[in-house]
Amino acid sequence: MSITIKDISKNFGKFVALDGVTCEVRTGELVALLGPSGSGKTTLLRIIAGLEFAERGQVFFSGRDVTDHSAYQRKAGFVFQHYALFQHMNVFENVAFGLRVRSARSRPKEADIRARVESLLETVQLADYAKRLPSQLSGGQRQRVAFARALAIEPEVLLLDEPFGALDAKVRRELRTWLREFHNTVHLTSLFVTHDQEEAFEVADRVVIISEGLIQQIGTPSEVRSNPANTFVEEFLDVAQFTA
Amino acid sequence: MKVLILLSSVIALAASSAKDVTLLNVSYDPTRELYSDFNDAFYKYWKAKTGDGVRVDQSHGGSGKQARAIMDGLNADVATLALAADIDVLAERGCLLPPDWQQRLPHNSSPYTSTIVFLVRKGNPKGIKDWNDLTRSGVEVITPNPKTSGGARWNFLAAWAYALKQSNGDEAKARDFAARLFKNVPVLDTGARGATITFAERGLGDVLVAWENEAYLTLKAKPGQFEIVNPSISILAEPPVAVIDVVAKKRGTFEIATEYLKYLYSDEGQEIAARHFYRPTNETILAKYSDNFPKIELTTIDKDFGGWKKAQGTFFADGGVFDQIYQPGR
Amino acid sequence: MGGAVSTFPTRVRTPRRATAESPVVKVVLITVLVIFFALFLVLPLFVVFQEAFSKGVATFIKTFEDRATAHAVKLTLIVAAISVPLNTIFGLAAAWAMTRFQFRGRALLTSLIDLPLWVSPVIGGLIYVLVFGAGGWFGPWLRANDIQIIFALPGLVIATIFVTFPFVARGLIPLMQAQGHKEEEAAMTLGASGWQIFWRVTLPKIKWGLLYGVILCNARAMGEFGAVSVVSGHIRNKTNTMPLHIEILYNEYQIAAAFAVASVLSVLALVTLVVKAYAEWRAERQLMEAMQTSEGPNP
Repeated sequence: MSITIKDISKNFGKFVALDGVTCEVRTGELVALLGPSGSGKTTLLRIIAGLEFAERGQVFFSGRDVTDHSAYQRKAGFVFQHYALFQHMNVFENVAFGLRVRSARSRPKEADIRARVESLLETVQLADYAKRLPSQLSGGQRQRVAFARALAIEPEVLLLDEPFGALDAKVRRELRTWLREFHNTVHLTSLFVTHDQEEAFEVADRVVIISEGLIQQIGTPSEVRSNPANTFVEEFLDVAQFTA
Repeated sequence: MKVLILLSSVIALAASSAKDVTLLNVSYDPTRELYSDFNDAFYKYWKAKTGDGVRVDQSHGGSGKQARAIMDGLNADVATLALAADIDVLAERGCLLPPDWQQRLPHNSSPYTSTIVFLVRKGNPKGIKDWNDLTRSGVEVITPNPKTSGGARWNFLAAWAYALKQSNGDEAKARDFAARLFKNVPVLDTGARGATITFAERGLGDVLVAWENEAYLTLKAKPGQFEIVNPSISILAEPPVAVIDVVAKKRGTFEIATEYLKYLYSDEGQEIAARHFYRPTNETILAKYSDNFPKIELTTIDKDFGGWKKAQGTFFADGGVFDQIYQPGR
Repeated sequence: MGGAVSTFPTRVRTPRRATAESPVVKVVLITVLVIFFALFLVLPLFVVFQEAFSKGVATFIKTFEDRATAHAVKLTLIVAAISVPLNTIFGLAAAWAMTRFQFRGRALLTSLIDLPLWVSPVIGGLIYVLVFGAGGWFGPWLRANDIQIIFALPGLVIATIFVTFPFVARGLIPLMQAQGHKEEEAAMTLGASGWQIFWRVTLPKIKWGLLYGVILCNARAMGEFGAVSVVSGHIRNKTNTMPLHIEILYNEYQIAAAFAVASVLSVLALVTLVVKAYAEWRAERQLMEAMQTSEGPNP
């Protein structure tokens, strides 16, 4: 499924978060939304998920207008920076949540839920942790539970908000590699927000660079690196390279 | 769910009690025991006479406060308050009963009377004999607030009558006397019963200025701890009773409420009043209990103060004599 | 002793914080506190129970067989059974609105929730007399339609709701603020409806904080005197709640009976204290967990 964003604008009071943003994530593509903090990238991601609504513009999933659909109708898989796991449920129940809340008609049988959750935990290498509570897991483990939970509802797009932001460098690198490999096997249309250009360039098929609510450049990592569109991109990449 | 069950039980409760006639008697503070007994007697009388049950609910508090509650919508079928002024308010400002209400029953609608006496601690350690002893320094006097309590207003006027008599009618001297008396009052309760509790239970003060009936009741409740002192002059207190027309007519209880009050004048009603140390208006029964009711020189509100309307305005209205002479915390 | 010496770095001992007082002050303060508690809390409580049983257990039990007393107990339970659930719903709704939405006047509303805690309960009662009393705004209309609010059950419930409504909301607002609503958002993206989110995600998150608020609300609802006294009319067997009945019994020289009823309220208070302490402990843990797992807002 593709994601198309058309002329999206969003204000918070007097602050302009997004100013007429248009871009596309093609089916099966892994795209990074890269920008400094306050650039509007997270807001854009939340608008795509239906957690936030824009004043102007439209969102399309595979050409279908979902602008007025709520988050629970869109069912985009969403992974939060701070995991947002359900603290009072164990790992198994966290992952099963999206299946259990379905209406009686579309809810899988208990045995099917069990099988699906177990295979997902297998995928994220947490099969032995099903009974643990989130508070008993490390940061990297928590984020993997969050992945499994988002994937449980079989989303057609996956949205990730700084998914590695809260992790230490080593775990971050591991998970990054894992994400790329995972994407190579399932080709789930994915958009992830980051402020770390190394991360964006290493993982993404294409990069969307955003600043002050405006898209500065869209392209593959090598295109952007070899041919920055403007001085902002040039400086942002320079600074990032310098500090990285 | 739980709420629903409870609600329905409340409604059921209300419905079941509606079969019998229920009256609400809103009264002043010291009459709790009197009406508790009298209501039982009336129940028997009415059951024998008509076969119907009649239950009378009681509400007690400072007379002024109770009048206020009736004004605010407390559904009293009858008011049995400490003084006529409080029912006058209901008639005039509330239009809840006709202005001539006091003429509807004998003796100015007062089936029993009382007076004001002193209650002192056993052996009368402060040697209190008469009103002038209450103004002595070092004597603590307990009396409720004339603004909210009917008894307190009778107390005030009795003291005033004494002062006027002592000074041959010099009002300035009476004022000074009252001011000195209230300087000795450490706390003003809102009702007569509150003042009694302050004196008898909490042990505050040397002398309680009280209804005669309240003083006797305290003697009975706490034997051997107190004694009664009769002052040289006191006041004839006439606590009136009245049907609250607007409420009773609306509830369809006007006739039975009237019968209820009339029964206070019956021999049995008078006996019950006398047993609770209220002076019966029936001479025969008063004579029978004369041991309990010593002769005290009594002034009356109508003769000496020009009636309650005038006395209320002069002494207890906002900015009246009481406000002028009483400064709390002095 | 040795307060000044302890500042010398040559001596090895647990360092005292710069703001800490000398040990003497500490001992004195704690002693004062203990004496204060003993004098003002423990002793009166002891007296209540002693007086309640002063005439024997039989008299104690007989107190509650008295019609007026039994009615007062029942009425108190009814009032609490109506006002506590209503305030629970109200508190939840208020806490939800305050922590989930940004709107003009939110700060004002947040402080208004506390209003009943600042205002004397007597004034709370009087407000309703002025509004619903015979001479009040709605008085004539209510009278014409035969609706009795003041000096009847509805008045008691309204006054009780007024004095108890801050408790649930106040318990929840800080908790829900600290927890944020990321978990709810996650549930939303997983396809949960608003109702499912509330029952499966929000309620379990806040249950101890909620219980804490409900218990306090209930204790206050059953024990309230001032506001209820104003709107009650003090009609025995009709509008007398337990606290009001205690006063009446006391004023009628039925001291043992008064203290018997008082002892029941005291037991309620003690039970409340225990459950409250437990709920508070659990709620604090929930709060700590919330702080640990969602440090800092998302940029």
